[in-house]
Amino acid sequence: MTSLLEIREYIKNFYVKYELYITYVWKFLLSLIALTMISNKIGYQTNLTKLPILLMASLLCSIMPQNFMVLISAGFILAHLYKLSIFCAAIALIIFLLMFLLYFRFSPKDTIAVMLTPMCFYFSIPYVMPIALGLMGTPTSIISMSCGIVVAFLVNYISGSATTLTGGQIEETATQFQTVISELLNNKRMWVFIGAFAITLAIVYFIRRMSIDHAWTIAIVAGALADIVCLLVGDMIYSTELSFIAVIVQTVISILLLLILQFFAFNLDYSRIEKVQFEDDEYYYYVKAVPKVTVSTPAPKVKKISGSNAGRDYRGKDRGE
Amino acid sequence: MLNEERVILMTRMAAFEQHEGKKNNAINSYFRSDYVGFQVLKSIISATVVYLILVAAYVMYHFSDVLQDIYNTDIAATARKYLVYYVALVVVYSVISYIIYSIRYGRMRKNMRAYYSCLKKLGRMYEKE
Repeated sequence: MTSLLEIREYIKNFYVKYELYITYVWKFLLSLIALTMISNKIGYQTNLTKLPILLMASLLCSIMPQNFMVLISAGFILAHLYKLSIFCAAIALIIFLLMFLLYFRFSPKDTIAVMLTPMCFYFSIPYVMPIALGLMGTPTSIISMSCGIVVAFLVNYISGSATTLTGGQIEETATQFQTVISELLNNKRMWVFIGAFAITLAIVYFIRRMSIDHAWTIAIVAGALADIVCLLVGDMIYSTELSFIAVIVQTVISILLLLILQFFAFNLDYSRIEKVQFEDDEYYYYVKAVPKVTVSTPAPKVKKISGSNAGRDYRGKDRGE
Repeated sequence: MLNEERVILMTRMAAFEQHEGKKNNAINSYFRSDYVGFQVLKSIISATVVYLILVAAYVMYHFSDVLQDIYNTDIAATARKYLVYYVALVVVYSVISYIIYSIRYGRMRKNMRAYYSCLKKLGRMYEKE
């Protein structure tokens, strides 16, 4: 255990030292993975699947703000779908526009969840998402996670039935629009996932906020159990044909990943390293302020001992009155 | 000589300025009613766009039904129905954004007050020297 803690300390120091470059690198890698995934899944626009294009786009994402990554991914999805059929692209565009206009005006910080959720689905560890967001975010993340689930199922459906969707005639494409939308809206599995994940996220958030020992670990385990139970119940009611062995195995993998996340993220707010520059009459200051790691201790409990004298008034007794 | 206390204070303030300050300054240049009103106006516009998108999607989806509707029923009733939906969407969305942006404005004022008190403290430090 001590060696683990040493490793954590080492990684922390490393991060503090090279924070700027690490941010670039992880943005680059994340966008590269996302764009590669999109190309693998729905790479109909063959020009956009070429490696130099992907590398260039990821490089651009690495130096731009975080939300740019989401925008680029949405653009890639639309471009690929446009090649497949204009109506699929229209549906995706409608979904993206609704998301951005209705929700992300209010909380632009949440957008990354929309991108990460489909990625987790692709890697078949979707159960990481609700628990991780419950641990790190707020209950409003439910909305962005649900949007992510919708996007994941849309992309999955389109890539699964691409051959039937490439009709040339206008009448055919008009019915395509109907089929895609009704397939998406009547996809019970999607709704079960949305419901189960929303409940899980809420449970994880509330347990995590409690002032109890090991709140994070309890939240992870309780969230995973709640997730399995919700999916099971949803599966029984709507017969979504989920494979339960897969669900349990994937949940276990997710829990392991989350424990790693907890090991590094718990109580350690690295994102608050501040780099500022200012000046006064005498100096220029280039300051890098690293927050101290504070280990939260549980609040002292006041135990009331009420014996037979509970009703008596002791006021003033200490002062000798 | 470096005054450590002052550097710490200035660092805090600079950090605040870097994150919240820019955004808050933008909000701070409005009166409450102007800021919230402007945001609600933006919400109304985006609700209108959303409504148009939804109607377009609905028409695409029920293309033949809509065509029949146009020939069979009276236009006024259909138009009224659509108008009611539109107004409902705009009202709900505006109320939500009104609440959210009012809260945000209040929070910004509080932050700015803390910032100004830091500024005063800094001024006193300079006076002392």
